[in-house]
Amino acid sequence: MTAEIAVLLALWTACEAAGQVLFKRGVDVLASPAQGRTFPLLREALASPSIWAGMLLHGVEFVLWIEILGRLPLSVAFPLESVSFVAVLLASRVFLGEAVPRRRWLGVGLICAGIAVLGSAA
Amino acid sequence: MTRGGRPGPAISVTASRTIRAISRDAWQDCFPGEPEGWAYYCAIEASDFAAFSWVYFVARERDRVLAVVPAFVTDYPLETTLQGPWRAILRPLFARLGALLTPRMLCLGSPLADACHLGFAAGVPTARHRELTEALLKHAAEFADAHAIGLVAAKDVGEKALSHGVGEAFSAAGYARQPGLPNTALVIPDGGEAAYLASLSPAVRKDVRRKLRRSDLVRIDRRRGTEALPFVQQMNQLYNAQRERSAADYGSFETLSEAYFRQVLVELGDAAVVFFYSHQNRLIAFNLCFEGKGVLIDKFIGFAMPESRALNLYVLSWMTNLRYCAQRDIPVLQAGQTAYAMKLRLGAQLQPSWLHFRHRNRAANAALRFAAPLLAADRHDRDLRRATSGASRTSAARATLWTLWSLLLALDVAIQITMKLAGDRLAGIPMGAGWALAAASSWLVWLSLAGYLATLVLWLAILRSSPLSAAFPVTALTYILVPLSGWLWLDERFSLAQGIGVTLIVAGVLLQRDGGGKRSSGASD
Repeated sequence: MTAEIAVLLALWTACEAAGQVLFKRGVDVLASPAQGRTFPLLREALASPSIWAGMLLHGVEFVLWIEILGRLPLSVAFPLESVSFVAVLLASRVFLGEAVPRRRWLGVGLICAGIAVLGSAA
Repeated sequence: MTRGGRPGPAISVTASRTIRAISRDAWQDCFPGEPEGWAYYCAIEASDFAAFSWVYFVARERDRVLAVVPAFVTDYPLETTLQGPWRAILRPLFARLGALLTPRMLCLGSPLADACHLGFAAGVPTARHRELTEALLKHAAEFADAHAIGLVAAKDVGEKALSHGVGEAFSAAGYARQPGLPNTALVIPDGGEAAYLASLSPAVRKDVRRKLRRSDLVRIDRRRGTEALPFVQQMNQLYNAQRERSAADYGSFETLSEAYFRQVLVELGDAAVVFFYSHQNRLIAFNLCFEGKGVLIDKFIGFAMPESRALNLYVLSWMTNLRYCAQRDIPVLQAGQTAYAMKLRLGAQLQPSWLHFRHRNRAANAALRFAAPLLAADRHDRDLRRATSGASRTSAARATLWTLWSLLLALDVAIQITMKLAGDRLAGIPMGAGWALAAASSWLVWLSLAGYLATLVLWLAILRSSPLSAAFPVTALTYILVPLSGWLWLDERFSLAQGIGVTLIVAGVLLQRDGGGKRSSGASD
């Protein structure tokens, strides 16, 4: 049971991080915000394979998360979610080459701690 | 923080609580031709504005005045900067955090002047403007410290006033800036009224002519200075009626009194020109203007309704001022910071102005910088939004980003709730065909899915203008919204743990901001 949840969570985290990287890759090739308006983006976005892949992963993630919520009380599932913040930051550094200054890591640390405290209060 | 100047004689700065401590000539020397000068500040001081107290910073070298700037101290409710929907949404927050969000402010400029009168004596080379500005700002900061004032600002600093290193002095002193309400100015063409009308588009010209058709039913009297004194009570009534009708409410900024009108007429004398408009021997409008060398400032106007609208008095007053300028060879009509659409249509141009601000508390300063785009007045004035370009485009982009984030976070909370409900319903069913069927027939699942797609679009729009590693941590704000909305709108109590959790998350999100204190404005967003 616990191992099953661990696998579900690991998969969920991986989907989240990969999905976000794909989204970012996808929008980066679209027109810059200065050129287009905010929302014609949808039409362009649906023409991007990368964004489609990200949406697919998010679909998987959606199912996984409903599954996780069904097995764990919210007060437990909630703090575990904060793993995704670390995962996405790592992924954006490794796969997108974004510079992540120490200040941001510190901020994400605070966020994770805050989420954990909120979870214990729920 | 390099200083341009050589180590000449020391500049000393003083803070006076009355402009009468500075000689009239020395002050006027810093503002050649400016009608809002020494006498105008005397008039303001004598008008008993209870919400403000006045300070004048003067930089001298060997007793010679080199630079001056007026300032005021007030308890400045941040709420007054909010216009439009934000005001209604955030009202509960302001009601609860009133004292916290009403910091005492020292602001360079004047609540009653058209511009921040930071001026340099005529003989001072422009190369020294930066050094002198730095000296003034340093003294303003010391003054604020000594009086336990957290927020220091400079309002209505015109684009031109920021040249010669003045803008750099503000950034070097740690001020952030954002676009303020621009002023409007009409350049009077050679050839007066006829040339002006010819410069308008045919449609506007036709409209102006039509609106002037009934102008012979209106009597116009021009009075200068003390000649207008018998009318101050009516001027004040007309002005206040006008103000109440206006949609914008800037709080105690620009609440006038009879005393103000009286003092202005007395102190400015002939430089105060009032046009009175009467219909059937009844006074239905006034327009107070200040005349300087090179500019006529259309300062305050008051109309009685509905007569004024029926007689198109606005256009008539516009033309009256224009004719007066042409007749007196005044090249510029400065028309103020309201009713932009109308003035632009009538050929006026916008003059950008900037608001600079800095809080001496670092956390408060970070929060202010973070929230500043939300407070930018031009985002909430429809005319301005249409009219502005260039200078405030970055602010527009940031405001868009703010809107996207607000929508995203609100939608996300709603989805969290529906997803939890959907998860509960499907909890007992094993994963597989049966689960999929149950999921597909649950309207909660479909609702979640629809919401999810909507957030996705918003998220992509945000990602387009931010790095992933900068944007993603901000989504953590969804965690604080549930307890926060309970507290704001449902009167729920915060538990200690919730308080700590929310604080940690907010601190973590604030740390994601670009640039900290050192980046000057105008960098790419």
